[in-house]
Amino acid sequence: MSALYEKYGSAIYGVITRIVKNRYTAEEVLQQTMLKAWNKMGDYDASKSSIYTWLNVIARSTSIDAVRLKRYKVEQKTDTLDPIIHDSRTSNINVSRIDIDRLTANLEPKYKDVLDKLYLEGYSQSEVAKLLDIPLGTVKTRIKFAIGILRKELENEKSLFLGMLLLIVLILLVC
Amino acid sequence: MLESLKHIRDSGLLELYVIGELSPGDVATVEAAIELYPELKTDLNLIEKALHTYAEAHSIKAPQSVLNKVLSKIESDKSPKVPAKSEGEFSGVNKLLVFTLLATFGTLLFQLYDKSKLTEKHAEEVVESKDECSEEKQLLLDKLSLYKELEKLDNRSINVSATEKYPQTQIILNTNEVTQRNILQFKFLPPLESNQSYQLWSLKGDSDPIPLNVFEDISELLEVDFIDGTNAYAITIEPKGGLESPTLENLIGVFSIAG
Repeated sequence: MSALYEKYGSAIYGVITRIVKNRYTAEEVLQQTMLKAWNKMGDYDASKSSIYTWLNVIARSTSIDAVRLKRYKVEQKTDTLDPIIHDSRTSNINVSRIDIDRLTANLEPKYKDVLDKLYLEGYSQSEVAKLLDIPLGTVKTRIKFAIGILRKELENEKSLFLGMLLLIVLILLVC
Repeated sequence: MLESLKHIRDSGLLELYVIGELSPGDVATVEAAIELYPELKTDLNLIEKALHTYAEAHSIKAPQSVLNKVLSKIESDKSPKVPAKSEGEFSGVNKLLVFTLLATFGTLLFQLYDKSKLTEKHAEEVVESKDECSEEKQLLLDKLSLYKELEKLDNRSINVSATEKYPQTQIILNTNEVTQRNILQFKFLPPLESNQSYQLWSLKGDSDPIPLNVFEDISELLEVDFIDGTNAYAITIEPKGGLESPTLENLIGVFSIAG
């Protein structure tokens, strides 16, 4: 459990916090998520998804349940989030290994909005469509496009990393 | 086939599958498609990786306190869970049910055992009764045979000649020369001491008395020995078990055959 928590806890906690918008509720939901995962570990099927995806689906549904339980209103989701979420330089935030600005550099706001609302904030497709006042089909198109851009950026990062590694090796060989 | 594969890829279902934003029906469709087109698994892995990376980029350090609570909960569920679960399962109604079942089973077992014992006892009693009946039946048949014997026309009924010492004695000897059977029919005999028996003797001319039957039961008929050529039969009271020679002072009476 400790290894699972260490590896995925923070990414999951980030999603949970954005959905429930309350640190204490987020901690509670994180705890429930990890316990559910522990108890349902036998149900996990590696052929269907990665362990992170599986955990994230549990976290998402648990968070949405918590939101409903605590009578959170849809409007609350548009309120300003807890400052810790936005301030990546505060001590509570992981120093991410990913450069988020570079990752999302080519992601237009209209795609990022849909991605954040659907993936990070727990909105349903129809809620996103309503909030952004766009057709449901457009939500699907935008989310697919947004993820496609992320995939491309990751490929680029990978290529860049390999290129840098090759350059360093060459420099070492010349010296 | 390719169109279907392309359709799945273009539909955005894979992305929504990873996010967890699909209906159960759509989830089943995606999983069936992945099984049908294994190459979709690669697409799925790339989408998962992209979203995982995006989530990590937005991660918030998970509090150590939550992990401690989770571990504590797992531990507490693990150790006391077995007895607690066991206690829970066998407490209340379940416990009562188990107790009732055991009690019922015990009672039935006891009743079965008891019934079996009773049956066994009854069987023994029946066998005993049957044996007793058989014995009784045989006795009755023997008595019936004796009474039938008494009815034979060639029988001689001889009253006992009681001695002065026992004048009230009344016994009839039914003797048959043809069948060579003797049957005593008791009316009255002097009572015996606990250490005494009645004994029958055969008297022939000058010969010593021949010791015959020794008996105590004088309730009804008794078949006794028939000795050919006997002049008279005598009855005495002797020590229990009888003697070889009669005690003359205890002579009860004599049946005179010859005369």
